Order: sequence, then structure tokens, then C-alpha cells
Amino acid sequence: MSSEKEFLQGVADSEYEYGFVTEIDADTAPRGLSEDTVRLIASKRNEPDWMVEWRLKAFRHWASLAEQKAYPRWAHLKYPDIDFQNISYYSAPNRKPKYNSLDEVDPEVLNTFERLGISLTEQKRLMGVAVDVVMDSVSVATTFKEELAKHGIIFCSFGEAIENHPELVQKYIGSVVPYTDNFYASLNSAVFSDGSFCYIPPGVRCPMELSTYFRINEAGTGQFERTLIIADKGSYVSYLEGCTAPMRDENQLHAAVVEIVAHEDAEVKYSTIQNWYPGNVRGEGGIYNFVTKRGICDGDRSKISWTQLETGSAITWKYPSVILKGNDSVGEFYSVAFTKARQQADTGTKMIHLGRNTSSTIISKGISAGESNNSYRGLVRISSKAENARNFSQCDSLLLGDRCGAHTFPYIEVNNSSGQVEHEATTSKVGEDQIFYCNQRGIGEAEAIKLIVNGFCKEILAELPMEFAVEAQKLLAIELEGSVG
Amino acid sequence: MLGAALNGSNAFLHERRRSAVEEFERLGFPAPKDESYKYTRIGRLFQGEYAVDADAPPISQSQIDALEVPDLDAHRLVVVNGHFQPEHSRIGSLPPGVIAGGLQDASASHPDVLNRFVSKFTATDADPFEALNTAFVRDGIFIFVPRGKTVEKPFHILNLVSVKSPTLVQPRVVVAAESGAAVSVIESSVAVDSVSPTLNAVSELYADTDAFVDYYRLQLDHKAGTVVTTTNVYQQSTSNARTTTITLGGRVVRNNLRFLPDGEHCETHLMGLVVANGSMHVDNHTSVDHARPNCVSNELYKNILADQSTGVFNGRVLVRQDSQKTQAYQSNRAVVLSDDARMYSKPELEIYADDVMCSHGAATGRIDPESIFYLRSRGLSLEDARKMMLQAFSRDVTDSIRVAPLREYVDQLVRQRL
Amino acid sequence: MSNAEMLEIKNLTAGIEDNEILKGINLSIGAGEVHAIMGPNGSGKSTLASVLAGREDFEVTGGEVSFKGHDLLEMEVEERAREGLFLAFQYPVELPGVSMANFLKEAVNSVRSHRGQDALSAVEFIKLMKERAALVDLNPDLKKRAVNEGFSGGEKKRNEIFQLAMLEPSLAILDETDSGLDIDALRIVADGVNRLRSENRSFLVITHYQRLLNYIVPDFVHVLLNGRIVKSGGKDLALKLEEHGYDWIKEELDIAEPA
Repeated sequence: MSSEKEFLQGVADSEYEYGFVTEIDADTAPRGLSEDTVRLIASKRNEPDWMVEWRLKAFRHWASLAEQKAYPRWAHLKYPDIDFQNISYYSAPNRKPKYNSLDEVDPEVLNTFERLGISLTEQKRLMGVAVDVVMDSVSVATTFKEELAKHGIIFCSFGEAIENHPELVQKYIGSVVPYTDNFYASLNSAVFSDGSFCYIPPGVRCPMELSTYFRINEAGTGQFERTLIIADKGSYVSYLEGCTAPMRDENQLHAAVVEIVAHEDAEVKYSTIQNWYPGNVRGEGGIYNFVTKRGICDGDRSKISWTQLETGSAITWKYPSVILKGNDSVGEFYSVAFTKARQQADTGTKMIHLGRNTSSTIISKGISAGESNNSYRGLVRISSKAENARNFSQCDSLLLGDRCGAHTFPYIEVNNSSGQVEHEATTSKVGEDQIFYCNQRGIGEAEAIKLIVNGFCKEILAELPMEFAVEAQKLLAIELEGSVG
Repeated sequence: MLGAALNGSNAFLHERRRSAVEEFERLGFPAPKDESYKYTRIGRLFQGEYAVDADAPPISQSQIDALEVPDLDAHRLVVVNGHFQPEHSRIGSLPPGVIAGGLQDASASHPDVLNRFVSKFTATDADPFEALNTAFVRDGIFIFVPRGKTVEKPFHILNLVSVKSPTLVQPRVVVAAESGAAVSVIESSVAVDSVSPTLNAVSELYADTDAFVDYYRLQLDHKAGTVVTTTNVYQQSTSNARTTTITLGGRVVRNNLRFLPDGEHCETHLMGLVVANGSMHVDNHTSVDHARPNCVSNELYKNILADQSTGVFNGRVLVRQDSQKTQAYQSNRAVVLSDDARMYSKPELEIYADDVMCSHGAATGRIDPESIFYLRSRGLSLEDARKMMLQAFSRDVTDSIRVAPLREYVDQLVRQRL
Repeated sequence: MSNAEMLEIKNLTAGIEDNEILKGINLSIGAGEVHAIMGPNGSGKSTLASVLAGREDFEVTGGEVSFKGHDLLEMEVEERAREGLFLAFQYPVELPGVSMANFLKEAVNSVRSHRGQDALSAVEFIKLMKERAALVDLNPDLKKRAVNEGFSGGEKKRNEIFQLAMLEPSLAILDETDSGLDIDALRIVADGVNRLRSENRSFLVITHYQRLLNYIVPDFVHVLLNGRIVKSGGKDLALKLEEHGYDWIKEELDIAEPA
């Protein structure tokens, strides 16, 4: 099956589509990290004292970890130690840090997002998706604000939230991911520059999808955004996140934090399409994506659902988690992780069952090609008080080629007798008989592999909101495209 | 002063021992953050004062007879506090060329044969307890079956511990089957009249081409003791190795099993059953390193956890890059009977070859209330219904025991325990 | 035999590794003809189907096969399919998660594009699916399901004929399509095939049993024994085989071809 080999080679080597650089003025802080850097970031953003203090506490914690070189090393990843003093921690894509309307945004920036297929104007309006756009470290545009405000929904950049809704930010920031949580969460807490903030008031069903697009543009910078979503009692919101970055031969660091709080009867659905630049075929360059995402089902009968399609980044280190504190609360994690060339992904979830009758579902699909390594790592913990807690986990791996790796590391901790936990995992490759069957129906190798891979991921893609699902399928197709298609 | 160290005049063992001392010094007891001891913080159990090795106190024949497996016709080898006891053993007649007896004796009488197998398979992920045993081991059992020979009856190693003060007892068992040979070994360990016994046992199994090695480890009563065992299994092509680990006793038990099927078409079976109550803590840590293509491994562990007991299962399956056509199946199931009992499972699948069939499953839960209800509606008492369900649960493992009297015996013990 | 050649097999030999299974097959199939190949287990029936479809497990060691005037053996598996050769599999493969609709759209449009036809629109495609599914009494729900995943044995076989109907091949090879079918399912499958018979479409029906040939009446019957076609005849040959088994042919051969 030489053409299958060629196709897989093509898959492994296929180029990154979003690798262009936008030529715009940027206000970039000098490289290096100290208390002064933290103060500089805060002052650029005119932050109040309480915020500065919080950042400094986080910085000191991080500095003590960094001094001990206490980096998280347990993941199945190989990369050299990062020189944290050789990164710029702040870059704004224009000297003007805030915009009152889209008209004020640098046309180059708008053009960038058009090229990424994210129209900030008419098109998205028609689709009914409210978008917040974060380029490098700063939120450049948020659409549909007024429309949302009518429902009492707050959807704005993190900076604006600090300014306009300090009581909410103060109450919730770090309440799900404390600044001491882990090395990269501490770093983010010290230097985070912007991100999205969202609050849905009690009983409100958000009338449209909320969405944030992240883009790293400047060289030598890291991106450290922070997202905070609060769904008050009985509310509902579906939130989408997408990310891309230019092709550069250096590794760039992205260390984000996402916190979600779901109160009684609230439901939050969070979907991600992560397509940061993965580096080239030889494994040079690409984003180091170290992200802490966690939600808490704080109230009874609340629900948090994570869906992700991970195709980008040189390294992905990410475990969107749910703390099931409220009784009868529900946590879900649906993931497709696709790695090729020299990409490495160590991703999965944590489901921490604290409340009674809580239930969680984990479905993870890993696809490895080229010389990549793709690991699922997940924790299911049923605490002693979580009576009648349930979990079902399924982790399937598909191997395309014989030089890649697929790994599964579930951790299952059951601390009472009424908990029911089931975990299943399989690893397989695309079968030659499956390809033959497709061929016999006139379908070529490349198309056959695409069909089979899409079939493999289907139940996850079905979890994505409609507009996103199309995008996701397109992205997967591009990823599989390679030299043949 | 205690008896001589194992090496005596054996230069090879002397060298192995020296490097093991160094290795142990480098590794030390597992630190609190050691990932491979995540759920069993065993290091702290070794913080107090304890003696390393003890002489064997007199043991009466009746004490030994009480530990026999009923109806089992076996070549019996008795070890007390790690020292082989020929006067209590009943080896019986063996096919020509078969060696069975004390490790110390074998080191003197058959050094060339012994040196081919002792410490020959050292896993890449070095473990301090194995190093500790190698460093200080004095005696144990050596069983050697030459090319093409089959030992019809199983060997039964009775491993007794009897110490009056905190003591680390470190027996070592080496079983080697040359090409085409077949051997079954049962190793049962019990502590009698003991105060805080600590057992650090190492067994090395070697199956050459086409050989068959069937090995059972029975962990019976250990009187609040700490038990660490290491079982290293090395296989050549088309060999078949089976291990069955039955744990019914011990306060803290940690079993490390490491398999290296180092030839094509090997068959590897790992079975385990844990029935724990009180504050028992039982940790089974298995690793199968599929280094060659076309091998099959099959792993099944069952845990029944009552009272405040804890079960841990960590099963690593590594399929290396060129190990195509590997079939690796793993399953770990647990029944948690009380709210204070807990189960931690950590299966690990690491796969670098693409043409493989691998799966693992883990399930933890309680006995299905519907089934209990069904049995009760047919007239069974709650207690009997529970027992029936649990026995059925453990049967997949006990049924796989190939030595019939042993299967009966284990079934019996499990029934008593339930 | 016939004039308009659909398939012309000349002295075809093939096998796996050093084991020769087909030992010189000669067979001509004309347009619109239905040929049946019968033979005991291990005679090489399924190997012949696989070799014609292009399964790479088998190595062709000699002979020629021309399909509508082209050298079949030179073509890739999907080229053969696009050119109009269809194999109804004995054991249809499951494609988890791949919906019937997606799969067939891909297949039908590949074939159409090869023939220089435009791709079908979504509406046309759905209409076609509905129409053809009815041919084999296939539940319309089946189309939403993944290809062969969770299908019963009978559904899988009907699904093969449904795909045949969708792809409109010139030559359809049915590899033991009747195996494992109850009499109702057999009738449905056979009815579907009969409705697809036309003067431009030929069939090669491989079967173990004569009963299928009660429903799909062949123009020619061939007996495959030990890698060779040893006897050919009309539909009556099948009846004789059913009644007397294969031994009489073996005996006849022994006389005809003394060692």
C-alpha cells in the first residue's frame, strides 16, 4: 500500500495554514520577568491595587517554584527547560489599548481575523455569534455587547471587567484555579494580560454563542490570557474558543487559565478548537501550550461540559476539569487530539466527584501520525461523600503510521462503596481491510483515511455547536490533507 | 553474627551484590512524591529501627503441616526467615538434571548454572526493593529444569516468617526453565508467631524458548506485617509464562511484577485476586514490556475490598516501536463493599507500534443490588446472596488456576474470608 | 460464448506466498450475462473474487484479465471500482462512525467523476438513496447508521446489494452473498439483484449452494475445483451438483485426465 504510506507521510508533513504574520505596530515589554514586569503590566492596564497585589502574590509564589525548578515533569512530554527570562510578557497590537468600536481597530488586525475566517463584522452578526478577540495579550474587539447587555449578560475583555465589575472579578478570580494551583497557573496569575469575562445572570439563557479568538502575533512574546465565566442560578451559556499563531522557528509560550463557575441549575458548555502553530516537520518552533482549565459545578444540578479539538501546538499540556461539588451535578469531557510530525500532546481531564449523585462522562479520541506522541491522562476521583457517583470513560487511540505513539494514563480513585466507575480504552490502527473496502467502492486511499478518521471522531464533533462543528471538520480535513489531497 | 552472605566465594554474585548496594544507596526508599509509589507511601514504614535478616527459629513439623495445601502432591521446599530448611522439606524424586533446593547451596554446588539466571533480568525502571534484596539476600530457593524436561508435580515453596522484633526478611527464589522445559511453582508465605515482620521477597522466573513456567504467589496471613514482593519474568521466544497472585493477608502489601517477553510469539498471563478487609492495603504494580513483535499478554486482576481496606492497581503495558502485531489485554475490576474502603486504579498503556490490538478496562463498583434482590427473592439470605455474587466475581481468577488442589484451596480460603 | 466481452480471464494463476490457489483460470463473460461459479470449500472461489477486485494479499503469478478491453491487473483497486467492477463482500467490513450517507456520497461521486458526470446534489443524492434502498427493502434509518456497524448478517448482505444499486457497475461479483441468509432475506437479495439485471450489466455469482440459483437464474454455471474451472454448463449443472455433490466430477476428471 505505497500510496497509503505516501498519504500518511503527507499527513505527517502537511503545512500550517494560519502561519502568516501581521505587520502592525505593537507595544511590547522588554524580555524578562520580575516584580517590576508585573507592576509594568498592571500599570499599562491601569489596574486597581487589589489586582496588583494579587498578581504580586502569584508572582512570588511562582518565583519560589521557579527557583526550585519545580516544573511539572510528570507528563509524557519531552522538551528543554524554558528560559522564562527570555520571554516578553506583554505585547499589545497597537499603542491604543482600548477600542470603543470596531472602526477604531487597526484594519490590519481586522484583516488578520478575516484571513482566519473570523469575521468580526457582518458575517458573524448574521450567524449570531458574539466574539471577543484577543491578539497577543490584549482584547481587540468584542461584538454584540449591547445586544447581550439587554439580557443582563456581561461579555467583555478581562480588563474592562476589572474596571467595570470589580466586585465580580474579586469574588471569583482564583476561586476555581487558585494562583498556587500549579506552576503555569501561578505564572499566568502574575502576568496575565487580558482575556474574556462573562457573566450570565440568574435564569437567563444566553441567546447566542459567545466566542473568543486568540491569536499570538508578535515574536518572542508569550500569551497569558485568562477567562472567567460565571453562570448564575438557572442560566445557560455556550462558549467557544479558537486559537492560531504565526509560523516562527522559536517556541512560544502560551499559559492560559480558564475558570468556570456554574451555580445551581446552571449549564456551561465550553468548546475549543486549538490550532496554535505546531512547529515544522523537524519539530522546530511551535507553541508550548500549557493551559489550566477548570470548572466548578458549585450548585446542585449544575452542569459543565468541555469539548475540545486539539490539532495545534508543539506541546499541549492541558486537562480541562470539573469539580462536581453540587449534588446531582454533571461533568462532561469530549476530546479529539490530533498530533502529527513531532507534536506532543498530554491531555485529558479531571473529574472530582464531591457531591451526591454526581455523574461524569469522558470520551477521548487520540489520533497520532508522523513521529508524534499523543497521551491521554485523566483522573476520576470519587470522594467518600460522593454517594452514588457515576463515571464512564472511554479512551480510543488511532495510529496512522508506525513511528508515532499513543498512550493512556487514567487514574481512577474510588473512595466509597456506591461509586460506579467504568473505564475502557482501545488502541488500533486504520485497518487495511477497511481501506480495501472503501477502495472497492471507488474511494481513493486519502479519502478513505479521511472518512475513517472522521468516523472515529464523530461522536466528539457532534458535541460541538453547529458553526464550530463545520469549522472543526474542515480543520481536521486540512490536517489530514497532506501532499496527496 | 548471622550466617554468611549469599555470595560466599562466588565472584559473580559478589559483584552483583556490590552494585546493588550502590544502586540502593542511590535510590533509597521511595520518597513521598515518587509517582510509582503514589498510592502506597511505603517509605515511612521503613523509618523505624529494624534488623536485616534473622536466623531461623525452630519450627515444628505440625506448624508446617498446617500450611499444606490439602491434597496437593508437590515437591515441598521450606524456607524460614529466608533460609532454606532441608530437614522440613520433602523434595522427592525429580527428573535427571533438575536442580531444586537452597540458593546458598546451589551457589556452592552449581555456581555456573545459578549465575546464568540470578539478577539477569534487571528492569529498566530500577526499584529500590529489588536492589535491597540483591544487596543483602542470604538464601532462598533455586529451581532449574534443563532442556526439554517437564516436572509433572508442582513445586511448593513454603515461605515462613517468624520474628520476635521488627526484622526485614529477604528471601529470593530463582526459577529457570531451559528451552522446552515445563515447571509449576507455588510460593505461599505466612508469618507465624511474629512481631512486625517485614518481608522483601524477590522471585526471578526465566522461561527459555518454548518453555512453560506457571507460578503462583499466595499471600496468606501476615500478622500486621509489611510485604513487598518483586517478581521478574524473563521470556524467550514462544515461551509461555503465567503468574497468579492471590493476596488474602498482610497489612501493607506491595507486589511489583515485571515481564519482559524478549522473543517473538511469547504468551504472558498475569492474574491476580485481592480479598482485603480491616485496614489492609494491597498494591499490585505490574509492567509488561512488549519488546518484540507477535506476542500476546493477558492481564486480569480482581479486588474485593471490605472495611477500611485499600486496593491499588497500576498496570503498565509498554509496546515498543517495532513490536508489531502485539496483542495486549488488561482488565482490572474491583468491588468496594464499604464506604471506608477505597480503590485506586491506574492502568497505563504506552504504545509506539501501530499494528497492535491493545485494550484495557477498569471498573469499580458495588455488587449489583438487582442481582442481590433477585437471589433473595429466590430464598437466599442477604449474606448468602452477597457471598454468591462475590465468589462469582473472583471466579475468573480462581478458575484460571491450573493446579486443581490449589484451585480448591484458594476457593475455600476466599469463601472463608467472605 | 458471447461476442461483447465484459470480462476475459486467460490462464490466471495466483496465490499467497508460495501457495498457488488459482492454477490457470479461463473464463469469458459477455455483457448482460449472469455466470455462476460453484465449488467446494477451498476450491479458490473467494480468491478469484479477491484477485479480480485487486486485494493485495494475493499475488498474481501469471495470466491475463481484460475488463471492458482494459488490462484489469494493471489497475488500482479504486480504479477497477470506478471503471465499473463491484464486489459484494462475503464479510462486509465495519467502518465505525462513518455514516452510510457520507460513505456513499464519496463513493458515488468518485465513480461519477471518473465517468465525466457531475457530482450529485444533496437532494438528488438523497432521492437516489431512498429509491435504491427500497430495492432491497432496506430500512431508511440504516442510511444514518455507520457503515455495517451493528448490522445483522442479513442487513449487511442487503447493504452490499444496495451499494451495488447505488454504484451501477458494469460487472458485479457476488461473493457468497447467500451465505448465512434465511430464506426471506435470500429472496429479498435475489429480487434486488434480478431488478438490477440489464443488457449492459454482467454478474459473477459465487456460491456454495444451488438454492441461490433458483432465484438468480444464471446463463452459465462453472465448477471450480482445486483452482481450475473443470466443468461448465447451463443452469441444470447446478441442479446436478446439488443432487450429486462434486464427487462425480472428480471421478470424471480422473478418467479424463489420468495422472
